[in-house]
Amino acid sequence: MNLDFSVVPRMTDLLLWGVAWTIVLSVLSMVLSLILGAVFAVVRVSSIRLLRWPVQGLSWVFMGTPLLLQLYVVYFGLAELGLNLNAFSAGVIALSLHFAVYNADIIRAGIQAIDSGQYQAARSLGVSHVQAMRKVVVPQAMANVAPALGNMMIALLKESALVSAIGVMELTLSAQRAISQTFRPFEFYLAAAALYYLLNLVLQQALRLIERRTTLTR
Amino acid sequence: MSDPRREPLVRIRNLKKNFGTLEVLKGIDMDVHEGQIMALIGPSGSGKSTLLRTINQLEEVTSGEIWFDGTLVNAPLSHRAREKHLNALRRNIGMVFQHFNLFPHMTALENVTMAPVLLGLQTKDEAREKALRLLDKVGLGDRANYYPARLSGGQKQRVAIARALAMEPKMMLFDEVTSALDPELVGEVNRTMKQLAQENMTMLIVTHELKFAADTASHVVFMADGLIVEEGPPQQVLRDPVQARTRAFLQQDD
Ligand SMILES: Nc1ncnc2c1ncn2[C@@H]1O[C@H](COP(=O)(O)OP(=O)(O)OP(=O)(O)O)[C@@H](O)[C@H]1O
Ligand SMILES: [Mg+2]
Repeated sequence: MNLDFSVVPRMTDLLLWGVAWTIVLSVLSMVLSLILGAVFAVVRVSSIRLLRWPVQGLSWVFMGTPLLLQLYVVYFGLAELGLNLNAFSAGVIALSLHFAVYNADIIRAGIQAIDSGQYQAARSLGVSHVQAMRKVVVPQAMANVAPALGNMMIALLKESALVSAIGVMELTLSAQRAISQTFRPFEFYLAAAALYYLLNLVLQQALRLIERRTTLTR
Repeated sequence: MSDPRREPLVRIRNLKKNFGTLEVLKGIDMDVHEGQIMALIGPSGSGKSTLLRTINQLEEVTSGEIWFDGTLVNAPLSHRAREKHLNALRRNIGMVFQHFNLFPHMTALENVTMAPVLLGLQTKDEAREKALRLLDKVGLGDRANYYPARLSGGQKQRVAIARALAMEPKMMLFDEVTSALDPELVGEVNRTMKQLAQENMTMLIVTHELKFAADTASHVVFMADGLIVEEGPPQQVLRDPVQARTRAFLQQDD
């Protein structure tokens, strides 16, 4: 095989554009998936069935079906229903929901592991259920399950490649564009893979920093 | 101190509590008057903690009535209304737990300021100033920015007391607050409680320390098997009990 990586620098702008959008797409989805995941987790440990059941249903749907189909349904399906989302928003929504249900499972286990005395102490001060969860229980639960959540964030970054399928010009799609201009698939797929890997290294360092900060305080 | 002509702050009538088929409280009648320091003693499993926890409704009751400051604590209400009612009630009843239950992800100061700020009772600055005063009062002015992990058990418990006081409660509940402490740390927490007693705080104290009860309480209640067996001034209940059950308990404990 005849590899020629000298074609890659010629497409630097295109690839950097892709990197930038992958970062924006992923970081936005990470934040949303963590917030939503925490909300879903709190709902799922609550005693109110009317809230619990819809979230349980959502969880089954998003865990039981492929992310690629979820992207298509959110993008094309909702358009059929008259809800026109641009591809980027559709991508963020599908990624966020998909990972939120997994995060919720992890955070829920974290919540159940927190000593009930924490919740009771908060309630004994007169704060509401939601306040006690938000300020006392969930932050501790999330800190305890931070390594598992970190793994989900790494998965999210990689799975964001699927959003190329609905035409978002992120890293994978920009690599495909570069290939269609240069007819060098192998070089650009490898270059894109290397860039994903680099992004993940950075993410891992960031996660390690956050973890260290949350464990330092105990 | 307590004026028997006034309505009691807490009035409990025929209170029963079951856990499944286990009857834990079997018909408690009890009054706590304003300014009273009431010590609740009794063997393990007699229902002391459960009784304490029904007063601020960390535990729901099975039947009977609990009145606090003129309102029926366990009034039958819709879920929503009950939540509001409980939050209002709990602001007025401070509670300190055996295992401190400090929030480990917050500094001592943040532990104390959290509730008043969340509930909008004080601005952040007001709460901070007040919390520093309270921490000073319990002898921890220099530990405000420490996380609980870096405090001793006695220090944690004093932060927990400051945290409850920040809500300016009308009454304080203490559930064996020194029994998880190393013996040499008990004194500092007891001193803090005595100081509160001198300031006329109404206090209901579950304790295994009979000497502390004798020194501090204005009234002692002895419970066994979910019932109040005997109550009265400390000299009487602790030195000269009427009931055989009380005598047996006190002898065992010597
Ligand atoms: N949440 C619960 N579920 C089931 N049983 C409980 C629960 N809480 C307490 N009990 C039972 O109720 C009885 C009274 O418990 P409680 O904690 O009130 O006793 P106590 O007088 O405080 O004892 P101790 O001095 O050991 O703290 C015990 O038999 C206990 O096992
Ligand atoms: Mg107890």
